Amino acid sequence: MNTRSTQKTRAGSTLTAIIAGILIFGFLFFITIPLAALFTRVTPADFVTAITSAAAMDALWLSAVTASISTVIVVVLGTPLAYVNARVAYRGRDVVDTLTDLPIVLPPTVAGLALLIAFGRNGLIGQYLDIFGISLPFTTLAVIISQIFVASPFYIRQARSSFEAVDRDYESASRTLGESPLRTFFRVTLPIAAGALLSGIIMTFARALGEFGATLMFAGNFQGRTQTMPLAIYTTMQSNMNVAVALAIVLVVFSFSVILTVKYISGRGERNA
Amino acid sequence: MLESRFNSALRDFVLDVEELNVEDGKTLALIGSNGSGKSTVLKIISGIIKPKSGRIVLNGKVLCDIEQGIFVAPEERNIGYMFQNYALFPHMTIAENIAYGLEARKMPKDEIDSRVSELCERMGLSSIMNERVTKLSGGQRQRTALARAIAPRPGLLLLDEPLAALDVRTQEQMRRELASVIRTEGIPCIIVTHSIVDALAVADSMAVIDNGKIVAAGSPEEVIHNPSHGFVSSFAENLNLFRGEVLVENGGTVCVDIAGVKVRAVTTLSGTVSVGIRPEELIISREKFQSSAANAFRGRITSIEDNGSYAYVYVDIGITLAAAITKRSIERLQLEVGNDVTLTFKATAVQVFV
Repeated sequence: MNTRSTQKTRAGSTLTAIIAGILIFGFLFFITIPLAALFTRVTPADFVTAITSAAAMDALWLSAVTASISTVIVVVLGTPLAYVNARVAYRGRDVVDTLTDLPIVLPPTVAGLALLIAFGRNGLIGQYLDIFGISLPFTTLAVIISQIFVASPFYIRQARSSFEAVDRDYESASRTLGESPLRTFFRVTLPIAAGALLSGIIMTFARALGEFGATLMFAGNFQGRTQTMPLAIYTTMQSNMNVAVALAIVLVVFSFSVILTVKYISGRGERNA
Repeated sequence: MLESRFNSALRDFVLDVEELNVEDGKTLALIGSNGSGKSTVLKIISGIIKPKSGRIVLNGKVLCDIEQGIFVAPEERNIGYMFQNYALFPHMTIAENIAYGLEARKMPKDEIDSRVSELCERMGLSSIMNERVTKLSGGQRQRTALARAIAPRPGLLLLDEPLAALDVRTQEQMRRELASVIRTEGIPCIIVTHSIVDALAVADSMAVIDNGKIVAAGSPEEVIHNPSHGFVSSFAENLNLFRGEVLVENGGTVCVDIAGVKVRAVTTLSGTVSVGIRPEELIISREKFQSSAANAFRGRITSIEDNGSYAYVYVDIGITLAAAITKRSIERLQLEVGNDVTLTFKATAVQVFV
């Protein structure tokens, strides 16, 4: 009796293992095949020709510059908010939190539309900017604004939880040793949270780099001015497939390295703590 | 000299300290169980928590007077605070941690260096002063935290459970070092602890806090031997606290005579002393057994007091000692009131203090 039930369990667990294996490998196959297909589409020589074409070089350069600038702006604007939300339990904090998270789930086209209605020539704010002769839509600045709007939650979420993870006693110790709250933040809180913050910065940069929908609607698609890599892929796909594939490969490789780096940083952080 | 009174209410916990004073160069031990509010007292005195009302004056300077709208920020109070978990900055070395408060005071670089090396030397940290604090042992962390707190020569030193995070062996040594550092620096000091033994080792005066209120205060003698409050007496009873006479025997081993019972101990003190034997250090056995422990006494169980997962077994060996034993051991040994048993404990388990 006892033996039979043991055998039954053993057979059952083998079956479970086989089914789980099929599901796991099926899923990995599904993810890997399209990505691998990109790499089979071009020869290395074609890749070099395509990536050095004017359209590709313009897009690479524009993407690198705009994503860097928007990441810096997100960090400068987002850090105080993330810190306050981590430390101060004020009324309405959940609403503010939800608001800053919203762009993560919002379709980028909604973001693009909202930005147009706000900053467009006849927009809520745009009409006043127009008086001073400033027009945001279809400029490089519009690209940066789109990226900030869409990518900021990635930093702010991560920054809030990194600050929450810093034991308040460190800050209290710094205060009793004679440092002001501001200097305590820069000498103690920031260095302790640095690893986790870096993960957030990298994720934000990667998200800004991949921004497509909001940019297309708010900034348009002009080579060298607003045509970032995702837009260039979309455009060149119809005329020069090799350029599209080459840019896609660059984005895949970069994104893969980004996530791997972030995993490494956060893993190291956990081991230190 | 610190003079303070304050109260605060956090959620449903009410802290009401009517009077808490520390004389110049003296050490006050604040004793209480977990959740009694003792750490909150330190946070209020240091300015980390703002009390609801009250007045705190240190060396003539008003640090806090809620009624008059005075509240000095923690960084302006010049109070050294050693946290229970030490709160050493993990991204810095020992030397950088100790220098932190001196840099905050904009002290010249060479003066910082000499103060840091002086303290490292005194604490036995010189050889490792450039190590990251994450690599240190418990005792080294404790010393670094103490050095960091006293480096800027604060007007008051607050120590929150300074020995709790250490293993028993390290506690022994650190208790002595702590007492010596506190006396050498001459800084008035409040030490928060749940251990009467720790308190007796360093304190000039003692206050007992229970459920947010100071229930007893005075000299250690007064507080322990004239327990006016039920909480204090239960506190003292379970710690096996006695007064005794040190007798020096041949061969250098020391004996303390407690009401005729001669207990072997390790101490350099002489004359009349206080003795504490921690209940968890006592071993109960049915029969006498051969061991390296210096103390073994036959006695009779007078009562067994259930305390959750463990129990206090009171054994009369001429004096009554409480032993903390797990309930499983009581079942296994089938211990009952009236049984004759042997109590065994090491000489180092006997705390001797003035």
